Amino acid sequence: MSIFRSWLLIVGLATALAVADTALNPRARTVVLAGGPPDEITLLAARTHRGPLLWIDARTDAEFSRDHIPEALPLNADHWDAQVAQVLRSWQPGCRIIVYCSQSGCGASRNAADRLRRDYRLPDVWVLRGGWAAWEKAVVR
Amino acid sequence: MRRTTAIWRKRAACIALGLLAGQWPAAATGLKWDATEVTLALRWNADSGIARFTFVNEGPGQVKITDLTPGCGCTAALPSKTTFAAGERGEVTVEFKAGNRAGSFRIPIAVQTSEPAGAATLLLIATIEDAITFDNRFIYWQKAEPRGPRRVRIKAVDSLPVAFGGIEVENPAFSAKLEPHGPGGREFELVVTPPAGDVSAFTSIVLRARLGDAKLERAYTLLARTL
Amino acid sequence: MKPFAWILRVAVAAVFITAATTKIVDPDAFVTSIRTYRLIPDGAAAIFAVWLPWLELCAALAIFPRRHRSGASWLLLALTFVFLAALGQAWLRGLDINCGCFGSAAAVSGSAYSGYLLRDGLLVAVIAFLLWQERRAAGSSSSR
Repeated sequence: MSIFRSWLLIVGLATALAVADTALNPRARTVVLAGGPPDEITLLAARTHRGPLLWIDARTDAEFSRDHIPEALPLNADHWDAQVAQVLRSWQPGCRIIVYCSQSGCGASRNAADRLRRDYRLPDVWVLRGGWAAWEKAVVR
Repeated sequence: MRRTTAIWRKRAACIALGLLAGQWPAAATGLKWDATEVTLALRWNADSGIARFTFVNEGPGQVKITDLTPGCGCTAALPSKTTFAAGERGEVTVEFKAGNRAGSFRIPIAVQTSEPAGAATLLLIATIEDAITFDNRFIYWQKAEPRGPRRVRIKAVDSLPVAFGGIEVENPAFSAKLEPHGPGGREFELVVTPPAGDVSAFTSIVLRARLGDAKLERAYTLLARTL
Repeated sequence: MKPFAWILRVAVAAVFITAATTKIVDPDAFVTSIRTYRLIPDGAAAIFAVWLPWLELCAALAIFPRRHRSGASWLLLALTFVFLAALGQAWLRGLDINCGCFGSAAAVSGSAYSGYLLRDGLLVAVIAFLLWQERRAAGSSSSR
């Protein structure tokens, strides 16, 4: 009986804390509310990630040369072979890769992320939610 | 009493979380799409393919498609006509050009209509068969890992005659050779040997293949690196 | 025996607290890890990703007060079994997963599985030992 009471207390407390976490912590909230594709990462999560990080810009070369996230590498279907070589030169084991394209719903970042995972067997590949638009908005703000 | 409160607290929290996680579909007005996601499967030698997104105008008045913007230069989208009366059926045709692509591609197509709430995003999922598949296109040796040869399995799609023309290894410190694997001549192994010693090096390896009876030439690039 | 049990208890709590805090700090990474196991639907995985670390944390802390010690130990044991089962099924299905054990997205495939299974197995053994030890202590104190 007392074990049962302990369980209730622990589970109840954990649930209450999880609800509070969801309400107060934007990262937890985006996870619970996401319901989106499984490999998307929010800008906040990307920026607070500790450890090596490699930004990949999956937009066109023209868009990349206009502006991009600092230190991002270009990778698009037009020059895939040359650009993926540069990406894999810069990559280190344990390095997280975050791919972005122009905005939410643009398919290029997901296509690039899929190829990096499937063909090149890279384990920690994510797609930036909201893409370049989310970055621009955050930087302007 | 305290136990009941705890149970109810838990239940309330579960319901709250369930509600938070739920998604409310937007009310349908105007064009109702039979499917907003269409898959298109192409053989390895296909130049292009066509996908159709069909809809019915469920709104009370006529609806005009004002703009169609595909998310990739590899697609062209066209409506069967621009204005649709109430109850009328129509379709948007999307042509996908495969080019030299292989693998799976998601191409969003943004639809704007005369009706403010009528905007929709269609998704074309095009899968182009790989004539040749590699179990991995990037091999690497960690620091202090023994620098022995690594093998990459290469497979051609069923009943496709393949002839490999040559292997180009960009960095001569690496070497690569192709070995047949199993009977049938459609499976191979690429054996890559890295430079000896604790040096970091990188190379691209280009495999040239002639595919099918028409002997279509394709080049495949693999990458190898010692850390 | 008592100081030894305490050391083990602190070690078990430390493992779960570390695991929980890394997951609480980076829920995005953990939800992706859960999804690689392909066991539960995506919506459920999202809720689970936020709730499970708090459960681990609460259970880990609850093994210290005597009143909740055995309840918490049983819960930790059950949790470890769940992790073991999840890892085991992924191994049998030949999935490439992100362990997610400590929140990080370390890739697990092929031979790497055995290390993770061994670690969870060890955790089960330690918690089971603590439960047995506690039960023996309770038996001796009630017979006294």
